[in-house]
Amino acid sequence: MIIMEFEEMKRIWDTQNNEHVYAINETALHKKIIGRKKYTSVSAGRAELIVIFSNILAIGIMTVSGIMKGEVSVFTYALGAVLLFIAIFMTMSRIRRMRSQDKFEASMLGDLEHAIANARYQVWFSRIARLGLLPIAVITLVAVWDGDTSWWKWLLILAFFAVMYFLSGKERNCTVRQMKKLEALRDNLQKEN
Amino acid sequence: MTQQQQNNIFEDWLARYKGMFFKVVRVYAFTPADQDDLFQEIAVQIWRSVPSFREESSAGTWIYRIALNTAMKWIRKEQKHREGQPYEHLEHLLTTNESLVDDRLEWLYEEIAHMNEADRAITLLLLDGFSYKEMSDILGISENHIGVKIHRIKKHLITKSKNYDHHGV
Repeated sequence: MIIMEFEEMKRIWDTQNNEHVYAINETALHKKIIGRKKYTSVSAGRAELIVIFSNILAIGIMTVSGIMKGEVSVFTYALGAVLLFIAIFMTMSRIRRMRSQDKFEASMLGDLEHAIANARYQVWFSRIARLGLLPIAVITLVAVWDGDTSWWKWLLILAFFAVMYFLSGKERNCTVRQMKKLEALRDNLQKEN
Repeated sequence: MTQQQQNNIFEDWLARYKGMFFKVVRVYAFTPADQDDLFQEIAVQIWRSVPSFREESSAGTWIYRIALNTAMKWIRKEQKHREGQPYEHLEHLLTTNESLVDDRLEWLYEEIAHMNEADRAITLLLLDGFSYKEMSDILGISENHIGVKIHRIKKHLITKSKNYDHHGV
């Protein structure tokens, strides 16, 4: 029977310090990057479609409602114009983003650059969507105030927009964090190369 | 401290103490997916800790403290969510260079993995040559208590080594 003394165990343990026992699996890393690229692309596309279609839907509802009531206020026109402008602007951004998809080279760093570009776009997009909330909130609140609505309903709508603004800020911070992670990974890979 | 300075210090620590990261990860996480997860968690916590580092202790001690605390918190959290769930079978970022791994090292890791959380931490620090005082600072346990635990751990490992097949070594 052989007994290993503790000093022997320590010597075995210390062998890890002199050898590169662990390595980064580059194939797995590339797959993760491709997964991240697809994820950022899909989530950016989904966010665009949600904003575009929800704005078009809101314009449709306002128009139908105005026709049925037989009267359309100046605030409805203003709100409709803002929503339409945002929908057109987002559609153009989407077209521009989709056209730029092919400019990245087919390599791990190229895919990573693509994922970063998607993440940057998401950050920009969430910032624009957040700013877009402000004119919508202002016009809605003024319209509701003008319509002789009770103060608690007005406060409720104000709270709704405040919560939306807060949540969109959280979402933006999340996309910024994802973008920074990808940028840090790219910097590390470039350093290793 | 600017973010650039924070990043520079973190990258320097990561390069200098990479081996320590892997040891902690391997002692507390057993599947490759968990090892990836814990590695990322420790890296994030150490990055966050950079501005709080005051050089009252060495960077190695500071990093070990954070890595061990993070690993112990992580394992408790994971145990809560993990019960009854199958392990993932994915490809992983960290791989072991098989040709360089000593079987006895594998055995040692396995034995450490069977210990409780606190004993694992003490064994890691002991094998990495930390003094009783440093272990006490890192783990928040009195030096006397650490002394008692170390005595038991050494005895346990030596006894276990009797059952290890030495393959003529």
